[in-house]
Amino acid sequence: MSVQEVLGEDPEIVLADKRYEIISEILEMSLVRGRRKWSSSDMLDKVFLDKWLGIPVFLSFMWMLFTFAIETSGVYMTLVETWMGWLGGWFTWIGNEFVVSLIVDGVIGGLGGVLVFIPPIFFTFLGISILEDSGYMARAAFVVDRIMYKLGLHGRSFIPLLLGFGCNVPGIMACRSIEGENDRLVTILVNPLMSCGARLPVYVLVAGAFWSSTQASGVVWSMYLLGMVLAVVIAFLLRKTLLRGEPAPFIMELPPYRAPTLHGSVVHMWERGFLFLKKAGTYLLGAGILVWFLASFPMGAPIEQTYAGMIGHAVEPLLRPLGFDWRIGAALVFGLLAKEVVVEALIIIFAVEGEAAISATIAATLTPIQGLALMVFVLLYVPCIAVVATIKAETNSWKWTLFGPVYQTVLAWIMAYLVVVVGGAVL
Amino acid sequence: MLYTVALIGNPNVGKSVVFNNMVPGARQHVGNWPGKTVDKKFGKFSYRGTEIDVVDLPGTYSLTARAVDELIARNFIVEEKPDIVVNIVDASNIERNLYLTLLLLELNTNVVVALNMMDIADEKGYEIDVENLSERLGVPVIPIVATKKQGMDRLKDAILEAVKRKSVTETKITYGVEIEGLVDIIIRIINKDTGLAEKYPVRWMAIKLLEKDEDILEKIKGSTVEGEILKALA
Amino acid sequence: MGFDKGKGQMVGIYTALIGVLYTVLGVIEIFGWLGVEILPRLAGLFFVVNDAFNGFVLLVIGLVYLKGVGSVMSGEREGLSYVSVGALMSTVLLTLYVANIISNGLGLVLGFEDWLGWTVWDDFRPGLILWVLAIPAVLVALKKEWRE
Repeated sequence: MSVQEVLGEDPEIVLADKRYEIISEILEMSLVRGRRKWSSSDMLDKVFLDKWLGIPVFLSFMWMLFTFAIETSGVYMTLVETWMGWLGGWFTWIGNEFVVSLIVDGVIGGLGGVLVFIPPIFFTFLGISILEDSGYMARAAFVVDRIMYKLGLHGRSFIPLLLGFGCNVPGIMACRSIEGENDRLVTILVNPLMSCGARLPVYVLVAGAFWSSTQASGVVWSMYLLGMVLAVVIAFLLRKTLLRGEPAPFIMELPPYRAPTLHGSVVHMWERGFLFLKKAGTYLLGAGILVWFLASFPMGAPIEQTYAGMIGHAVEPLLRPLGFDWRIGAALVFGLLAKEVVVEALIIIFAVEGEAAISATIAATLTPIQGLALMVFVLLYVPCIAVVATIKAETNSWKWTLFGPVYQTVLAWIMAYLVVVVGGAVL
Repeated sequence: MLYTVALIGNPNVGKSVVFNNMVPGARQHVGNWPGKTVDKKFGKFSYRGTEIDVVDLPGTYSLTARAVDELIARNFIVEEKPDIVVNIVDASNIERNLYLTLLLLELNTNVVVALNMMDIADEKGYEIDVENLSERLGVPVIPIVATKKQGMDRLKDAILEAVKRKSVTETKITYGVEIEGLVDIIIRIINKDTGLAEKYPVRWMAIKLLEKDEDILEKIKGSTVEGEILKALA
Repeated sequence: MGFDKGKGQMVGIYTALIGVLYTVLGVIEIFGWLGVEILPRLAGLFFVVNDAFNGFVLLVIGLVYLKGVGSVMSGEREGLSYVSVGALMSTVLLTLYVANIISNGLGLVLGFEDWLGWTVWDDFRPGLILWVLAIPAVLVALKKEWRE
């Protein structure tokens, strides 16, 4: 008999089948599959994957995470700020007014304004690491996936979306693991709606200006939730209009639960937090200096007539209905560099020092409703340029690269406007 | 006498835990496989007066020529000829894991199976008749729980015994009359080129040739029997 | 597999009680946030701060306990899952509040302006006292032989 007759077109598959046959023969004799024991893992899954309680339990853990990140870290933020204040005071010996202003206002004021947020950012990362290391995150993914699948989203989308909580750039890159082209595009386009770590300083600053720390953590939690809900809604709309098709089913392997160790979680927190420190030391430092220059020149001009003022005035008409003036407008434009820069820019443009002072200034400039609208706007509008560049690299299409930022800005404006209108009507 | 042991297994079966249990941290080394960016971990330990070199092969599900890590693992076994290949098998996922075991048996290597994650298999309610499994596979099977360091000494004992026996595993795996008939034809042709037959396990080559394995087709190029083999395969 | 029925009933009644307490306090918090005060004396006893999100978490924990009551009563081990996860969530919430108290206490010790008027009572939340009442649930969750 010839090889063809015995093994057909694909001998490798025939032989593989044969091997599995042999394996089942062997196991028939040597393996008894008894009744599964009721393990701790089953116990936890019973509730965490519960049809009704799964999502509320997930949301509860999320709230605990943000309370930990925001309420608990308050003291440590004050601690960092105190150090920044000492550092700023120390540099006045230089004497030259211009250099002192660059260092104190541009570097320490601007960059320091972001460094104050190291505690909440690190606390958030610590919480996320604990949730991940314990094996819970995979369950959360599973529960959310059930909803997403019903809405026509690919289940594998959830992991890239989850990564987006840290930073949208790796989130978008992780979309490579999604097989269907339309599935992948949808997930890339909605990824920036997941609230990345860079937006946290803005929330903490604005929410802290209007509400007590207990309420502020609830408000921040709502921002993350709003981002997730809108991501699902937009993805659903895209699937029904521009990017039609059925999602492929997806099998998720749930890792075993493990008690998270302090050492492991701290290591993971540090890996993520270190990236933020690196960004702060390079990119955010440069951005702070750039904003300072734009807000100081032409030399001697009042802030309104500096380049920063001009940028702000250029966008002001668009933002007026939302209650934002040219100063916030300029900060939002600078936020395109990175969303932490919004905080840097606010500090430099309002020419105040320290978190308490900028909080008070914001509380005096905006109403609480407008503050909420600002947070919603920052959550949703054009992601930073790094994200836009990543979208271009991953989609390799100018069309989608343009589409992303445009729909996001429109969405941000509409949602912020809704907040102002609805909030105004209710209160 | 210095012996070489290669560790192999599917991804996520606790292979590196076994490696860490065997080789003390200070004697571990990490390098690259020649010309590849895949990590190569190796080290040494001594047990009952015998020095043993351990090489941690990349985690793989199969041994085809298509993926880099699979090719690395299989070339190491075929060309470096380690004295023992310790196949780490996830007992809680035994069906999928034994596929690699069968491929190793085809390679005519001196295999010792370490049946890891016995605790999880137990939780799943699996009862594994280790003796029966060992008899059917024709190789020693040692149940271990690497994370709890259980069974590590028994595994090392089994390695020493297997090394001393030095008999290469005579495989008991057969693919049925029809396929075995084809295998026999190819084996007979290969054996005519003694150089080739001494270099690689003959039965394994025959099976791989039936699977149209590119790497092996490359290896028989230039052999005196190349034409005859290709004719038989057509 | 089940467990002793008498014990099951005992655990069931207790779980129902603790579940109702969490649920009620959660509802009180949420309504308080909306400006509607219910059972002010009970609320005062448990340090309710009228925070909707806090209330939501209490409510969820309460519902987790309550969902287990039926099956624990009839001696099914599935019910213990709900008791265990309820106990786990109660404990995580407690840890959170304790971390808060320690951090804010540090602020007072360091003499930061915003913390000068801080007292431990400011950070008392229903989750703290409810956890003390939930200790038996934690013990049930830790008892391994009940599960197997």
